[in-house]
Amino acid sequence: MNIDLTDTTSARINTALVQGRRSVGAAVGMVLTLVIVTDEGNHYDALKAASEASKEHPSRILVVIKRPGRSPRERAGARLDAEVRVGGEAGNGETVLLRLHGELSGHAYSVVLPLLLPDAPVVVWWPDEAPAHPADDLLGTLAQRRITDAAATEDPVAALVARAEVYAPGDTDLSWTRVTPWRSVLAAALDQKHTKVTAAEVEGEEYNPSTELLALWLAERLDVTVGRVVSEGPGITAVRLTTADGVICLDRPDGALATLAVPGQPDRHVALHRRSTAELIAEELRRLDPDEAYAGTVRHGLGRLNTPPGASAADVAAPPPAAEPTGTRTPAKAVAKAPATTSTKAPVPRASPTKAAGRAAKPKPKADGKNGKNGKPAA
Amino acid sequence: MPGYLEEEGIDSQSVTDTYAAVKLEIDNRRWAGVPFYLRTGKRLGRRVTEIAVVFQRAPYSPFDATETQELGHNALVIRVQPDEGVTVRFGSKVPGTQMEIRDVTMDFAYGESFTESSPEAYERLLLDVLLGDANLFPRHQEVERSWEILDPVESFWARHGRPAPYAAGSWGPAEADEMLARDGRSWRRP
Repeated sequence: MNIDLTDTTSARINTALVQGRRSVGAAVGMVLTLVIVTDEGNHYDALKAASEASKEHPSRILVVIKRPGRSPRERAGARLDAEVRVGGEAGNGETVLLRLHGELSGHAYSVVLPLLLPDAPVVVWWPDEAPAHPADDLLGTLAQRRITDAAATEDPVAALVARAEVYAPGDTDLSWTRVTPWRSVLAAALDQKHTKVTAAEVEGEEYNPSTELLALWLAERLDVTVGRVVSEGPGITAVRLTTADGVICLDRPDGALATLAVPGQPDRHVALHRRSTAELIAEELRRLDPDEAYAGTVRHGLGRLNTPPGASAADVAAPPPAAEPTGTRTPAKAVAKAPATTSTKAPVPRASPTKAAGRAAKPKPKADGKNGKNGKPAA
Repeated sequence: MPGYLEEEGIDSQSVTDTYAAVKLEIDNRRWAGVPFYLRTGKRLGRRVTEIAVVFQRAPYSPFDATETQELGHNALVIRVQPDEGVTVRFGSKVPGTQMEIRDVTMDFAYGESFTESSPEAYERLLLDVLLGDANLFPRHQEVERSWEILDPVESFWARHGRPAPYAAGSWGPAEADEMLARDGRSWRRP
């Protein structure tokens, strides 16, 4: 059932929601409010993914579409148009499309606030452009979880560096969600094989934040140098872990079926397809507490996103020029920050402050540190 | 949406209060340790009248702390107006092998169970006035006793401090949140 409301108020939208629910007669217990902040061009895909995810998590989906207007007259005005969808193809739960015209587009917070479900947790998702500081954004303060997508931005790796710097508990990124199956297969492979990993290598597309995150995660968890190899894609194509017995290799050339090769065992095929946004969102909504693994990974990496230790010279040259300044600036910062951030989370034996600082100053980053300090003369 | 001080014809220095939050306790054995938090205000997030009984956390001894940390407080919410009904809120395990808990609701909505909607509150009162039925009206003793509670609060505020400002459309000033934070609680979002 669709109810269109033009030039409306939050109170009338609430009434329409109650009316819609009654006429459909569906008693669905909604478990969370999902706020999608987007624009006219991107809302269709985002809403489609969210509706699909709502089959697993019945939710109230509020789509905030900002339309500040092009002419001064449009910008000065303020109007709220809403479209209430209950039942039918809207998935489980309720969907409200909010079009904020003119000046109102700057006040999404006060429009959304009265429409949140009572008591239920709130998740905010920016499918494309996210604010520079999601946790400080007014809408972000409402939410338990804030989902961004670095892969949807112009410069994904730079976006990831920026996210890492402003990380607050509850932040997450879809490019991190994309590596979950990789992480679980790799962890399972090491479960069976109890030899120490001495080196690792991640192979993937050039402008792919997920590849970087997977490399960082391996570096953080295994405490080894991780090489980064650029390939044609799609996405991440291979991970190789060097052990005393040989190389554990997880290879996915086609983006659908991977081969796991463990020394001393026959090769196995693992389904590792590239998942749709709906699946990613559904996975993110399953947990509503802060993602500690993600926090550890992005904090660990900070400055070394672009130049992982052990990367070949060709790889150092690979990162996009726009990311270069941030990349060279951050290592010094990361070292300075490391003791403070790690001491707050005591039970992480692997990343002790001295170790983190020591590792950051190892061969490769040493050169970086120099560049960072004497950044101007070098440039 | 303009706030009270921005309304036309209102003195911008006005100290008229538009929001109140109080914590009350009943001094007897039965209600010892049960705080009553009341709040009311003009131009808040939305028009809603509710009574929420928030239960204390039970000891979840068989589970460890990480398994139950996502669990909120169980609550019984009586929705007086609008969308009259009762909601019970409690934690439930998410299906699957993982131990994950999610708060769910059990809902009774008056308007869904009866096709006829109940009359507006004042309609009923006006009818009672015409019939001379005083059942739903407080007697003068009750009114006086109520003011006995509120008068000291009012007179204190008249002498000390100014009302704390809050944005129109929000759920009240930050000071009200601090009041609950002192007790280790927070206002629920209605």
